[in-house]
Amino acid sequence: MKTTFTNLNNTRLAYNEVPHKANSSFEMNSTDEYYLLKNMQSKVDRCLTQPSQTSIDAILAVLAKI
Amino acid sequence: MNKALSLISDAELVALFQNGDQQAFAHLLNRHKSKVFTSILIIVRDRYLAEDLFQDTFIKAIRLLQEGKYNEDGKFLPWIARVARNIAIDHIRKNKRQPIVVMDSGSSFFSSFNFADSNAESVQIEQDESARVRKLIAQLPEEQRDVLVMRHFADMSFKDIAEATGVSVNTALGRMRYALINLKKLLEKHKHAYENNFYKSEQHSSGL
Repeated sequence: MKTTFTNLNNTRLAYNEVPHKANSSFEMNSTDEYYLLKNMQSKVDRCLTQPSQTSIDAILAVLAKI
Repeated sequence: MNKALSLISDAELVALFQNGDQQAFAHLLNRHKSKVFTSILIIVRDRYLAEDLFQDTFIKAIRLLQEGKYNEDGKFLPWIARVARNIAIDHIRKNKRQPIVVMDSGSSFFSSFNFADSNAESVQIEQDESARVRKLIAQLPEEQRDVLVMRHFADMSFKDIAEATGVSVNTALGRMRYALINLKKLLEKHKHAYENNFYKSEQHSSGL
């Protein structure tokens, strides 16, 4: 699977790294891939998890000592 | 927590902390704890260890800021994410617990995947898509995983990622593309494996 110019542009578009004017002239011949990338992006963004309150308290305890 | 602090930038919070305002650092901690913790967890794949390294990261940040060893005005998250990554990687190297996945081809990558834990706790975890996605990100080839973590959890631009990893912007973009496509394939494969395991269990439990 070779990464082509179009593939990279899909990635640029998915991460909003293409100026709007460039978007309008860009012929997306792999639209499915663009939506796949957007879909996976949102899954990654939703996978955040929190540290425990014990860890937060330990850091705040160090902060309180300074 | 001081409500006004939530409105000010990371750079201003850093400056306030360096001028003696501890609440400013507490706010930075609160603002970025999830992204920093998740990026550590993805590298070390062990929640208890990740908790320890997360503490080490922020305690080290306190020291570095106090010593004036922070000169990345306005870019606190990429900076602390780099501190976190270095601490996690150092720990793995010292303890020889380097994750095993370093593969180029899709086939060897997928064939190493171990599914189908049967205990109740792991079934619960498998049902949690968020945990599943984290687990699968951790399974990506290191260079793809790193780009993904830097972009999503350290808020770095592709230009910054390219500089940090010593590759071109196009290579960084290509790695991100492969990371997301491979993650999609892994999720599909994982879903299949989970469903097969689930239905097998159902058959066993119903005596079939």
